[in-house]
Amino acid sequence: MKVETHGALNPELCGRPLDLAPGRAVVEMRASVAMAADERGLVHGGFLFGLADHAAMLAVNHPNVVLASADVRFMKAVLVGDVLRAEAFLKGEERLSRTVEVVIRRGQEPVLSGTFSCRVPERHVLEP
Amino acid sequence: MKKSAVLASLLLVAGLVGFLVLPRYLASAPPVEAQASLGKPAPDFQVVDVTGEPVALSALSGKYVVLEWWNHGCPFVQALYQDGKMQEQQRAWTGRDVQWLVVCSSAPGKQGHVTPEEAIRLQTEAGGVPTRILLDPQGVLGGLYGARTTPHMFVIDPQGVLIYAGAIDDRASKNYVEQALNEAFEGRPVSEPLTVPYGCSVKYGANPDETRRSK
Repeated sequence: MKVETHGALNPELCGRPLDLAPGRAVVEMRASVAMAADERGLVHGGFLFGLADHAAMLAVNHPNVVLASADVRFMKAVLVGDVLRAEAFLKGEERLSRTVEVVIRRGQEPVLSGTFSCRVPERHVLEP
Repeated sequence: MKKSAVLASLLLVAGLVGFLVLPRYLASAPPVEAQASLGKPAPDFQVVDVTGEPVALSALSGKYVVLEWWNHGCPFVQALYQDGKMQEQQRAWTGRDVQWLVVCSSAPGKQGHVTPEEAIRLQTEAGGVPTRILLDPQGVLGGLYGARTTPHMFVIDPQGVLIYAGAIDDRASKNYVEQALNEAFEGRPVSEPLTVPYGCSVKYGANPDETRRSK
């Protein structure tokens, strides 16, 4: 299945798509030293959010999809070097709205879960 | 702020690299003051490596020497070794007769502290190929060089002069140690001899002097 959106994202920062199917996406990322928030190697949550968002966008996989809001739970600390896999599933669809559930796991262990509310406008958001 | 820290900041901002003073770092500190200065003779040391062989910097005169501060429990070090970036540099430069010395200054009971046997096993399992592994549980060597983080890298030229101190890389594509050695081998001055190291703090033991002063 062809990637229709967010293809310009940097895979080092937002993950690399591993699997793509209608309403489902799997994206993997290794937390790099550039993501460290402190001297103990704690990874800043914003990078996890970016990975989750990327997976959510790909679960919708429409060229115009954007994120409107998200409800996210950070469940475990992530360290530099951790390999993370985000799985996103399309759970709801109503007119222009899409609801996507995302879980990021480190191995079998969930580290983030969230619900991403997406919009699919008729035109690209940057078009007038 | 200590005078030395202010001076170090000013030097960094100004890009002046003739002098290096590294401040003590966090609560745990090595038992000796840093004596390493960029462009000056690197402090000599005499230690025993993990195989029991004596190692003296002065005995390595005539060769480039790299010091790599190491803590196998530090996520930054783990990431560099998992990526193979550190071993790649070790392999490349030891192949050109550079003496690559891995130093562990973790104190007993602290993260990364290892016995000689553990150090050999961990480096071997990680595919590390340093020339020597040095254990510095008292933090004397770390103190001499002002090692602050794992990793923290130092490059010494064949005349025994410290020509690079700082990070292994810019957290992206530029490897500062590789750059310094390449430039030095080509007979050019090191273009970025001082960078800010990143990583875990070196897990020094409590410094008795510091403890007394804080009471």
